[in-house]
Amino acid sequence: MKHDVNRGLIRLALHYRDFREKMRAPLEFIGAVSGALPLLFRKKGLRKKEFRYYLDLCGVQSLPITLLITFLMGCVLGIQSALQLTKFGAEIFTADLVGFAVLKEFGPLMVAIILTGRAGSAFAAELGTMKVNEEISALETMGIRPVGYLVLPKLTAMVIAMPLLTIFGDVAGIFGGLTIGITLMDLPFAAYWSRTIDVLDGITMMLGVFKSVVFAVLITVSGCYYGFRSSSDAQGVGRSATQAVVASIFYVIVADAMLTVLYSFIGY
Amino acid sequence: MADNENIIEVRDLAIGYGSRVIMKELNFSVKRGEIFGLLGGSGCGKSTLMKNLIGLYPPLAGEIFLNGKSLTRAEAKERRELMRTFGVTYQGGALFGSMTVAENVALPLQEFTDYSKEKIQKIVREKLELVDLADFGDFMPAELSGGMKKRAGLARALALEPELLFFDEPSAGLDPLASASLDRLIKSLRDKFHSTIVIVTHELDSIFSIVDRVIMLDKNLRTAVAVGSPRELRDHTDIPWVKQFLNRDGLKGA
Repeated sequence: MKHDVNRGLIRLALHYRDFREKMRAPLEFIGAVSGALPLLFRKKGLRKKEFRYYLDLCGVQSLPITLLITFLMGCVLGIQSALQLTKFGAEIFTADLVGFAVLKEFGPLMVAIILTGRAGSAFAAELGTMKVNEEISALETMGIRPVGYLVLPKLTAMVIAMPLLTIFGDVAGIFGGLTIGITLMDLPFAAYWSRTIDVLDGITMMLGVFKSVVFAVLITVSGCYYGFRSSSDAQGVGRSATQAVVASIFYVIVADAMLTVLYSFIGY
Repeated sequence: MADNENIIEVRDLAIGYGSRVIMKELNFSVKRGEIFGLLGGSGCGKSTLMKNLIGLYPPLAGEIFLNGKSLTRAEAKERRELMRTFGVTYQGGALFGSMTVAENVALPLQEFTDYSKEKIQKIVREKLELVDLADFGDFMPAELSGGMKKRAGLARALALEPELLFFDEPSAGLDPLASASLDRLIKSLRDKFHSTIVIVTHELDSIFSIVDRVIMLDKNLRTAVAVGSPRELRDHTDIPWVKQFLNRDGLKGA
């Protein structure tokens, strides 16, 4: 009996040690990224060419797919809302449901999922390949901090691109709901539009936009973290890209839940 | 305190990963202006030793002095400053794929100097001419051959004119002519610019034609078994493995 307890305690201690080690690496990485942030305010801190490249990759190139997906999401929300609200003769409230759902939840969430697939995995694969090619070692031996040099342009681009994409996505989502409202439900355009304008406000939109800023940080940090941790072989690069996507989606959904609860406490 | 004649001094060094010791009790020094080779069988830890010397991996024990300053005990900032005093050429060149060859060479100059754009361009041209890549500045790394990538990597390593250069298997994957040409270039760097060079290589041709002294690393004993000039070791050592290694076909360096 005493023997079993001792064995159990040893196993518990080993699990705790493994857990502590697993937690230390991401925390160290977050610390390194935070420590590099002041570089943004220095003369040569942000590499402008790379920043523009990532802004194009994450922002401009992601715009068409974002518009399409959020428009379709607005349509789906419109149909589902209409199906239920027609039972009560309250079709006009479809505008409320679609508007709030898109601005507060689906807009930022859909953009986050699109950019996890497009940018988060790309960051992990890019950094993993750089590790295989010893480019990260080369930076270190040049005396350049790889985290500051490689992560900051991606982080800055994402923090700018994601909120902008979210605003575009919000508009596309509302138009998706509007399309369903005026076609399938025969609601007048003016009625749907004026209802939307009446119930939605700038603060509601900004709450969603703030979520997208948080998601941008989570996606970039996860993608870069798994890229830096990639093992130096081709399989390792693929694995790190997959891990980055899975982890990013998980963190985004956890953060979304937390922010939604927080918003509900402050009356939104 | 480390000796000023020695640009690198290694004391009681143990290297490895986690709890796995690859080499231990390493004691050697590299003198200013010499070409020093790290030699040993495959998997003995030559590249790991080099990565310890350039500060990429922390040693398990012991100390490394660069120019009399301890790399091992240095704080992060001082360590980065020490790392700027040497250049490293990696096996595959380690060029940044998103930049042209000229941009790669310009990178350390842009990061660590306040030179004007024109001056940086001039230095980049000079370095590319030195490695015989003057016409390839606008090429992307993916458009270069293996040997050209190594030379471009060397041009980048030379950008800040370091007095100490590290080469990781410079001849690996090159044909004999390209390999000989790279050897000549390495030797000329020492002769013209008095650079100190540390080189990891398997190539006997390179060892006998350019290297002044070598350290022989024994995989089984997990330590260095001999330090000296390659010819001296080949002709006078009592260690059969070293003799055999340096005299693989009985013709090299004859």
